[in-house]
Amino acid sequence: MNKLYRQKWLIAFALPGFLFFLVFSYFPMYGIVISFQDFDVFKGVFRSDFVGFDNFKTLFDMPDFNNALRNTILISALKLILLFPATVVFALLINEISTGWFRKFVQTTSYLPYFVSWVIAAGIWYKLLSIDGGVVNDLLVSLGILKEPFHFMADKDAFYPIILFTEAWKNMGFSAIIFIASLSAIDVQQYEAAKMDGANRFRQIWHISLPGIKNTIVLMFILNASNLLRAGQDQMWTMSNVTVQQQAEILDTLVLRYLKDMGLMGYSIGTAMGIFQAFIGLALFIVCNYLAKAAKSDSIL
Amino acid sequence: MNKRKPDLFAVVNGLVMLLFTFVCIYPFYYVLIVSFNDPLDAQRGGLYLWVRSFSFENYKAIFQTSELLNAYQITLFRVIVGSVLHLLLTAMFAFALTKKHFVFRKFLTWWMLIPMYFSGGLIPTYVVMDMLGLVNNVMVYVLPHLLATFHILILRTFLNELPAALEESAVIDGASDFALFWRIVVPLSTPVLATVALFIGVFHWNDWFSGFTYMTSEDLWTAQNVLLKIIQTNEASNIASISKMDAGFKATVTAESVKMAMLVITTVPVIVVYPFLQKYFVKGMMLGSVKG
Amino acid sequence: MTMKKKMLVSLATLALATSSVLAGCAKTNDAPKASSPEESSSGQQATAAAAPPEEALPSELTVSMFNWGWPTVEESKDRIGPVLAKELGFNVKLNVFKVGSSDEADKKLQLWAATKAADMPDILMTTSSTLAAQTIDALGRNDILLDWNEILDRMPTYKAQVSQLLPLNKDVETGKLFRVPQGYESPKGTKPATAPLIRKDWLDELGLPVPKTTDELRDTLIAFRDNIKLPDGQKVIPSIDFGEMFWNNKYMFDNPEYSYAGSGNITVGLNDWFTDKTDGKVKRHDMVFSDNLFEFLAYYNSLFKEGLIDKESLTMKYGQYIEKASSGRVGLFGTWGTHVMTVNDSLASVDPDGLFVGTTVFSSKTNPSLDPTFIKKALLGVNSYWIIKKSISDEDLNAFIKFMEYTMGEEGWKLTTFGEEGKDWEYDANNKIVDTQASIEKFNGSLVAKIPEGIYYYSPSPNFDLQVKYYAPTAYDERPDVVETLKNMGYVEGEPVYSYITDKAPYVLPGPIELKKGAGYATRWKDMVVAGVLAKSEDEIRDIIAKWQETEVKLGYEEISEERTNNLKTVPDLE
Repeated sequence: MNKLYRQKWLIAFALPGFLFFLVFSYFPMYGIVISFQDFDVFKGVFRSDFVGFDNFKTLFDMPDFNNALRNTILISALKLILLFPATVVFALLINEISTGWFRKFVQTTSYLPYFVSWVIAAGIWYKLLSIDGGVVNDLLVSLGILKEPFHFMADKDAFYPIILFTEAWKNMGFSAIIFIASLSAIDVQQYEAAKMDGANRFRQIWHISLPGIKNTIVLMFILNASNLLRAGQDQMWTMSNVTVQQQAEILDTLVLRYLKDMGLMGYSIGTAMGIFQAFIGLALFIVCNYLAKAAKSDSIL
Repeated sequence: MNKRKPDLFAVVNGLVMLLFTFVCIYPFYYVLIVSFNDPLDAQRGGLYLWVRSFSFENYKAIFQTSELLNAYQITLFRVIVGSVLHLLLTAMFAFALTKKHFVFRKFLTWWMLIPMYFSGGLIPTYVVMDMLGLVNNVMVYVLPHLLATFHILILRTFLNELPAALEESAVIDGASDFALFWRIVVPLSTPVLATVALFIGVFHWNDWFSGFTYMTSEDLWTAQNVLLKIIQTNEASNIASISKMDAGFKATVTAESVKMAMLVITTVPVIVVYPFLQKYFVKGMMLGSVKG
Repeated sequence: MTMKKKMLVSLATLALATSSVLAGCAKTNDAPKASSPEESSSGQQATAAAAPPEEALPSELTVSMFNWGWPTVEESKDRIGPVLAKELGFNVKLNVFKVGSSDEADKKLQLWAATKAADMPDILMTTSSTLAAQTIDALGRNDILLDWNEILDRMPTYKAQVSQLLPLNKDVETGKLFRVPQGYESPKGTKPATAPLIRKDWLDELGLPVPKTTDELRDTLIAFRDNIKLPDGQKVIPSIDFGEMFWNNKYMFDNPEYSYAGSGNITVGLNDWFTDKTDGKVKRHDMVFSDNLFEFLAYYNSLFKEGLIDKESLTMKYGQYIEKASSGRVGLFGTWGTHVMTVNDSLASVDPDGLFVGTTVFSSKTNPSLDPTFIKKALLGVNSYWIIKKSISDEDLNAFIKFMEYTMGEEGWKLTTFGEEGKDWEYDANNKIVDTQASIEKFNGSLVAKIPEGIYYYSPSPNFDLQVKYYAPTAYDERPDVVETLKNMGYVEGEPVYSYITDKAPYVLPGPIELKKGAGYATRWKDMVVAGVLAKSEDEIRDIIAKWQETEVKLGYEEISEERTNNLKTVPDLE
């Protein structure tokens, strides 16, 4: 009891959070049961029929499920392997800009595309990449790089690079903010000391900047990796077209498409999908966290 | 602030950044010129670098809506109250989680982690909100968003890196956890607090889903809801122009163009506010000022 | 700040946070609930099945509806509302829930259902999707909703308008009527849809007639490509289509005996279920008429190969699509509804002589007589439902019935549809209703401008008999592009535009097998069509079709077909 009293402030600080999650996250969690039911919205959770794993079976048996799963994993992995390091590098580069106003300018503009919803962003990129008067094609042809306009949006092989590029364009500036914030908290004296020891810019980055934000990097990596099964629904939904439908289908868009056709049954299936993704997500989180601990980094748990 | 002579790296870096900013800014610039271009003229396409036929029609269509003022008041309420409370609770919670001797530390970490992945779904959430009396209640914009696990994690990671020496000396001087929090931790965390403030502020600014799901009365809508409604009305107007009843109707605005204007209106306030937060991202500023 | 002050501040904040939670728990809802009238009704008045001589009425009736785009009235400008209130003896308030799409309206309905419809208004208009129908019937079976059979006798005008549609809205399990049509179309009152649209001025320039067959159409497109010269050396785009709408053009190749347009007057073109007259089984068009399907794919495949259809057709977004059509370079494009007219308006700014008109084209191989009647068939369809909660007060129910009957009767219909006589409208020489000069000057015929003043806003459901009686041709109808289009569609003024499909097969509601196994069908169909259009040879097309049919069978086509055949008996006779 005495121990608890000594920690009274900590308990007081944590109490609102505890209540918050209890009420807004755990109370509604009874809905997880829906994925095991033939949910009737009027009967509600407590009186709908229990069907065990039927919903999951229906889900996994869907003809396009395997394709969607494969695409989801592929896209998430590509984003993690390519875009994540790029974001860190970008933050480091911004940090290196010494002219204050230029840095602010670059940072602000890099953050702008985040606000453009994917609906509008997709419309813009489709126009820019069009074979009929699109700026990109016009430029490439006039520079002699292409002989004739390339039909970007109809090319199955070009689709994933386009997705990665547009994702970077839209989100990199935003994702970099947290690294920039972390970088700004590194003790200036470390840099000064290093400079006196004759370290050049790159060595400073390697030995001071990067280690200084190591834990942030690890945290963001774990979070991104655990979201493997969630590959950016808005982007895939708006950026796809009939020719690249096969490549663009991810788990979330699959559910959206099917829900419409399935009436009330679709709701149970949708919930089952959510549980599936959540389960894998949490498992990945734990695994990655464990690996991070093994690599002598701070653990989150 | 160390000024070094511009070396090759700085020049290359600058050029690369310039290219990147152009790629980021151009689509937005495109949105801007379309928003100021006459909508029927814009339908013809071909707008790249400048406005061809200047017009305020798109903005008029938005600002003539009388409900917008009330909606902005509600948005402002949720952005300010929601963000301040969020920041406060997040900081407090994260701080408690950094104390290794805290009895509930492990438990609470799991407690906040699981909801980041598992959620009950739309209908159960709605049912709970209904039971709490939050349906059709302006607090539904604030209360369910008081905390976010992601933000807590960011803040906690940051706090863990603060030099232990600072806290230890304060503890030796007899400071309570409360004092520790306010006197030392909060002033030192401004970069990350600014980051979280930005994230939650932008969320509150842009969110339309809450208003749509939980409000039956338009009086309680946020600005985003009203703006989206305007776009939909214009989309319908185009269809109305072909109904039997609507003779000789010429669309004065198209939904596409109004969308552009709406995007500008939504983004400009954020761009204006952002520089004020950016000053917290300057290298080494905070630590230096606190020490000594 | 001193330590003490800081302590107080943070304590206050904690208190604030906690009290916010508590305050939130209390119902602080001051906004009037959509369902309850302002005044409190003085308890139920006993009403017999027949209305008592002096009906109890509230002072205000609230009717709720979903709306994803239509403008709403402005209270300060509303003229019609007060007049209506005087005639009825009570105010009418339309409570509009603005949502982004019909899906969102369905979602909202489900959320209400999940909380036992406590938040749902008494009188509500919903979408007519399968999901909505299922939810409504479920609510009805659980005693939340009124059975309309109990009150329809009090609404003769309305009942007469929807009599044909009512049997289709019955709840299959209980036979009761929980949902009735609110928005619906009728062959008496709608214009035919157009597809595709072609440049009349180009045809005239080349001395060509409007094409009626697919072969003629191909030749016309070739002529466009080779003989039309555009300024500034721009290349002619003979035709464009919108990726999603490839299936619209399937109608050109459909088997006329077993085909029909989709619900309403819009050619949906996705694959139709029909009852095979030879064995009474329910089958699907694409699984039976392989030759027709082949013709369709081969035709578009050849157009694509010869550059007669724009390659970007498959990848454009809708905004780009309209842009291209308005740019003056396109000879033919597909559309739904009559979006053509806005395109013509913006085309005029590029090329003052440019004019798109609608056509209908058939394949002479699959439809030798070029018989158009099958596309003039439509499903008996309802666009939206009325539902009423059982807990509604008698006063409000009386008011609603009075409101409906009045606004669908001659006097009320004219008031709510056109406005005030003399001020907004008058009779012309043929006793048809036209805008007054003052109205034309004020509104220029624009509905969007009229609605804020209350015109057209309070009309709850259409009355097509009155429309036929009083609608005068408008300036819209007299536009040259519209006149030309209607001529090409074979439309004759005064005749019904289409007739209802009486084959029961398409009316069967999807059962559990179809819901499970039929999901994702539209996506697969699109994939298949695209593959066919992009195929390298005709043999490959035949392979694609064979594989499609094989896969569909594997996925459960036969079981779905059987389920539909068995459920034919749930559909009432439509002859």
